[in-house]
Amino acid sequence: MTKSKAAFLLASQTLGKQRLYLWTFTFKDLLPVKETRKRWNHLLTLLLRQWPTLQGLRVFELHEEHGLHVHLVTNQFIDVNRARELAIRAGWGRIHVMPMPSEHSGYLAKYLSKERPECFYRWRLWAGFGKGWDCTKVKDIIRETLFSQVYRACKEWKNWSGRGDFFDRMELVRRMMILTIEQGWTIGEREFRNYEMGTG
Amino acid sequence: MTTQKLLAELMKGFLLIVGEYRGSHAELAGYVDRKTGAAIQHVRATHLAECAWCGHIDRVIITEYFADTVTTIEQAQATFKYVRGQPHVFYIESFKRERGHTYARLSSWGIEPIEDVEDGDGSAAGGPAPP
Repeated sequence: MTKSKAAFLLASQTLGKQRLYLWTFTFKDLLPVKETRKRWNHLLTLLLRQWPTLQGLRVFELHEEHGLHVHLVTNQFIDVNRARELAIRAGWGRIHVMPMPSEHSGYLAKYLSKERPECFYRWRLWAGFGKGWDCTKVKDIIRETLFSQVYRACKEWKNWSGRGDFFDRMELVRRMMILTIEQGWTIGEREFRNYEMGTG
Repeated sequence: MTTQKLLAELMKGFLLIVGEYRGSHAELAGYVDRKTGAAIQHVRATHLAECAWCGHIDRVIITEYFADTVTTIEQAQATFKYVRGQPHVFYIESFKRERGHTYARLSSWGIEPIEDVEDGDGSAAGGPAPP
């Protein structure tokens, strides 16, 4: 699982504990990716103008045959006929909506596991929208693994600051992680110091 | 597993790593949202295997993800029944080379010891060196 996918799952948990609505917006014709994004921005503006309290998450999916389309999760019931009118105004084709239990939001996260197409370079594959809720962002996510714990211990031990010597640091962390597993150490600066003293 | 069976598996085209088992570590890994404190966690294990790779002997880091039935570190540790220093077969799903190091992901077939391999000088068992 990537950090982005974890952030999406946590954001969807924050969005709603009860019932969510899963929307799919597609086009009749195959459009270039940039054009689709432009139309999505237009549609989102219209939706938020119509329902200012609307909150949700959107995910871009690049379909193998049908090009880019948008999936949306919202926590509020909105009139599908009115939404369809707005979608047509913004140049969209078919829209589909269905209620979804909040625990099924992982379904949308599967699109985030796919390999990122080159045309999505530096794009946000998903984003939260709407006022009044604090969507989890990737920068809010802390990864808790053996490697990250060993990294923090090494940082304390070697007084690392800044971002210099990245690859040397990674090499040391990897070595200390291997030793931690082999020797059955508890992860900590003290163990690493003892090792350093022992090896001279 | 005998070496004959291992050879048969290799000839069938199974993706596997043969190496000396060096240790394991179970952990509750995952992601934590620093704003809300919510977490997504799963139990996983990291195994170390020592094997010849690209002309030199190195450790391979093999990650194992458990089924949903394994929810605690203790349950994961209970599955570590491997003998340190003995050659084992690691059935893998995928592997990658990154900056000279090898990382692999264990498949559900897991790890099996190779039974009929003699250790030349006994040093592989991790005990004291022979006199």
